[in-house]
Amino acid sequence: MSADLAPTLNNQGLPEGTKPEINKGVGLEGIGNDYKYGFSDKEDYIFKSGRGLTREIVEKISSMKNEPEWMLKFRLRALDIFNKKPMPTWGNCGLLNDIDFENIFYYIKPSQKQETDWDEVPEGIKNTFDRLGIPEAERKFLAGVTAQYESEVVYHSIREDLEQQGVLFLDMDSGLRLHEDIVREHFATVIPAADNKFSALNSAVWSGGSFIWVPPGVRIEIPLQAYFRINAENMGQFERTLIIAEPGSFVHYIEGCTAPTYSTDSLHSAVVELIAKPGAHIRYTTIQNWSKNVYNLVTKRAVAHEDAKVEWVDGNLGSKLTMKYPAIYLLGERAHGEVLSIAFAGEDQHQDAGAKIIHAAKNTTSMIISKSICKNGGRTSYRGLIKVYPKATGVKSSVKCDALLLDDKSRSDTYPTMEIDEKDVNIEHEATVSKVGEEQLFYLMSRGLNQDEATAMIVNGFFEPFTKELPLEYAVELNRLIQLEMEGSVG
Amino acid sequence: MSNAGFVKVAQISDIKEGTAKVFTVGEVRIALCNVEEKFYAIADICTHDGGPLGEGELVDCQIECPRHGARFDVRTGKALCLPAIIAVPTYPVEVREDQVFVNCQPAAVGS
Amino acid sequence: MAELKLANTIAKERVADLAQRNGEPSWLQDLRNAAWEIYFQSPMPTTRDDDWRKTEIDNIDLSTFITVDPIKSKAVKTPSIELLNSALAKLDEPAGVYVDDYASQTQYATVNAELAKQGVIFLPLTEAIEKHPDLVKKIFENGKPLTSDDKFTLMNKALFNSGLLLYVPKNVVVDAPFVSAVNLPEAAKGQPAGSNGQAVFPRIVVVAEANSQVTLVNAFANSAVAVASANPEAKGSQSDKKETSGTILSNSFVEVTVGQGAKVTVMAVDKLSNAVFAVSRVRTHIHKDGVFNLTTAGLGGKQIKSDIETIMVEPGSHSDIRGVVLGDGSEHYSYNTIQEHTCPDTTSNINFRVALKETSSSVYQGIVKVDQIAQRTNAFQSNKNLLLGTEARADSIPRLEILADDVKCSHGATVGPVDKEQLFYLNCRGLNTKEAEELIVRGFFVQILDGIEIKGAADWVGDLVAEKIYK
Repeated sequence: MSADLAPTLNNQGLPEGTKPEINKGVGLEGIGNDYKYGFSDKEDYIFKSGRGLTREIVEKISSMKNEPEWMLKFRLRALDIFNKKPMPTWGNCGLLNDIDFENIFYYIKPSQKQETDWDEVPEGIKNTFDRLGIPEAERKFLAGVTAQYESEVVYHSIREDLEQQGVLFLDMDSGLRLHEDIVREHFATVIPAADNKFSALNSAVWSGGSFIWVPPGVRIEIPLQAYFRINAENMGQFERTLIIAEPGSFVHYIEGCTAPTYSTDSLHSAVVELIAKPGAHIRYTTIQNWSKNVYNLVTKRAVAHEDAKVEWVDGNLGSKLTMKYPAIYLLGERAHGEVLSIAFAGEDQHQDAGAKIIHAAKNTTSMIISKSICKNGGRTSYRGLIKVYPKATGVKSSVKCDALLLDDKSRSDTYPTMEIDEKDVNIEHEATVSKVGEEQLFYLMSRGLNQDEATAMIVNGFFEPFTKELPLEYAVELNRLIQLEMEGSVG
Repeated sequence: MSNAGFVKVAQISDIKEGTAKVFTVGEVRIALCNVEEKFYAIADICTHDGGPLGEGELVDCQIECPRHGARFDVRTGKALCLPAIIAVPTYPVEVREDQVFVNCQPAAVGS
Repeated sequence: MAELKLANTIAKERVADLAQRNGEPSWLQDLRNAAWEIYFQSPMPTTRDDDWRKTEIDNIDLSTFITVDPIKSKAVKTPSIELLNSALAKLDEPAGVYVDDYASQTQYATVNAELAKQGVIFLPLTEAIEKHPDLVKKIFENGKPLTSDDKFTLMNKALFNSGLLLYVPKNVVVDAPFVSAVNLPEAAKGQPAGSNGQAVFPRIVVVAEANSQVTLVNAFANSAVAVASANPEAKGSQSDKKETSGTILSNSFVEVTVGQGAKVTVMAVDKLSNAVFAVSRVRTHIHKDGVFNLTTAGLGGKQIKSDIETIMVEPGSHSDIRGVVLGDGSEHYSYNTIQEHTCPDTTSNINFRVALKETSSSVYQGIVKVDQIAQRTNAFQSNKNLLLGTEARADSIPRLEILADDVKCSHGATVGPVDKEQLFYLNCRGLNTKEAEELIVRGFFVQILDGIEIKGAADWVGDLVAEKIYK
């Protein structure tokens, strides 16, 4: 839409010479304020660790899971690394240093066993997931679903035909138990425990998450889905996901996360490793909608071998502080990486998100699109890295970041880094920060929309590159969310 | 093997089995590693982020950068675990009686 | 020669000693000492600090450097500084010339008599302190607090021993350029790089009072030194071609105040030898409706580390910062631009173009900060990098920190080699690849050079660029 059309259109919508009044700053009042997943269940657990992190808890987790010796060793070493590593000195240090590691529950086992029949899931948990919409998703014949509640996966299913083709889709604990060789070969090779303080923490106390192995040439056309739910106050959820796509295979994995609203903080710190072997294609979609008391400090990294393709589609709507920079290491020739990141920060939220792409082979290509909106004192930061190693000739990369600020209490930062150690490359970066254009609002309001509707339409348009990558039901849900919450703000 | 370029760096007893120690040879900082009484010299710089490899943990013939957990084979310099991708330089080592000699001349560098 | 070593271990009496030898007033000694105290306490930066990434700061051992004695003679001689002469040949008749030539031990400033009558001051800083102590004191005390300075700026504030004051009173418009040239001392031969070097601390102060206009051309040069090659066998290292001439550390600090409705235009050229590690900071405060134009050209030096900090303090202020950087050999350039929008209705533009030959490298970092009250800020930042050498390396880190909503801020950055289509086109026109590349590099800088408002300066810098391209 073009601003210079507005004057002529004015004649159609409003009396000559009058302008629709634009009420500054109220447009998106409702977004992010009306968190509908903030309810909690009564606690009824099989096991709940004490608060705080000790060697004993790590040993207990490992023994309850009946793990092999090497995994226990890995956990204990990671615990040492976690204890030694300083907190990051960049990012939102004020919020980071508020995390009270001694106050967190590191392991909660909600039910005796994992169910494959929805009806068998304990009533309370089932009701919760009903409210979150999992059975609906089930009815749509998804290829596979897991549902994690606190530390463990409580429900799991996979379509039979995929099983018959040899696809492995399990929770991570079962993956380790049933396919130890595959796990041992790949586990922590993409993200070592010592990568950062939070990957070390996850490595020490990980539980749950997904393990996916796609055999060579198998293409799973319908997404596999996972739902993550935190229920207890001061819970720490540390799922661990490993996806291995063998040559020529394809998989799309979607995860969603929610939690109750509490006055004290919870911690979610996942580690996600993706391995796309030659010619494989992995797409990983996240709709993060944690409540505003959850710290979401996640390490996500993928490797893409020759001719492989990895896409991270990363939507951050919830949480108190998110720090997440999905990375793609393009290790094989002609590998391609894409990150599509959207972030929304309302009151008391800081979305520090971004992407890292490492070009380590010839003719690798990448694209990053980041879109963020902040309002009501929220803060969005884009932090990104494009690195090209020497001899990685023929590399092409394009980065585009757009940020919208909806009021003067909010803040937007852009911190991109380009490290280019090869001459024969083509690297482009662009970023803009602006407010919702008055011309655009004016245009839409001249067409008879009220200000909220007009703003919602602009916001929807702004996020469109993201929503159009989502499966239809998610895209509809996201649009509805924005619409609904905006309606709530009128009058 | 020619002796040219080899410089005495340490006594065998300076580096305990299963550990690495950092030395400066000319303008090169190396981590000298003792793997089951065999000695290997690698550059003391992680190829990922310039981290001090010599301060890392040595397990068998793998050394782990303390900064972000990248691992290298001290025999070949090869990168074994992300976030490092590129090999670190390695340098020829000779043990003569109880002394360790290293050749850090450019021509001798391998990786 | 008084050996004032720079180690943290050196007592502050040495700073006082320097001040005393210059016969400085006690307030200035106090300022030097205050700066020294914080300098002394602040840690030496390392390449792990974002601001110093990829510089060779880790190889600089300050404890082995000595400060160069200030030049005593104020006699006007014909300068033999090639860079200055090439500037004078292209520019209009200057309004004043300042020379600080360590090679010939010459330091003086001349100024057009008519302008002097109007109250324009153009003097070596030491002389300005003697003749206009109150003015200098006021300027020094009005700057940013010491606690916000980095270690090298503090070092300069404690130890500055050359430089100049350019003061333009209210409503005085000077069309002709002031030209300043610093010719650094020759590097001592036979010393290992990074140590036993000499340090120079020029401090340049420019004040343009309300509604005045002034132009300053700053040339930084040094006499090239024949470099003896090291004996690799003796060192048993991989220093195959490393020179052994000692390092010259140039740590300069340029402070500019643009008064209400005033306009200051600065052209800075660094054309230094491979013995020079040049650290500099240009800090500018722009008042209501003031305009600041800066073009900086990095055309030589072992390491050029330059912070360009521009603070838009009152509404209507505008800054335009342009960079032309052409590296060759193993030169490294590190430019860091900081645009602070601290009030409503200000604008800033940044346009940095970097071309790198051979194994030269560059890190461009830029940040645009928009305070919460700085509504209706327009800020644009562009950094383009042209990689010519197969092992040339460029980093680009353009950052935005925006706290106001009614803003238009954007940045763009690109890194790549010479465009193949352009090359092909020029090849078809009969140019060989080298000639075509050279033409493209010249074209790459044209947009920046065309924006230089100082008459003759674009020609001058264009020639310097061409000379380096065709070298």
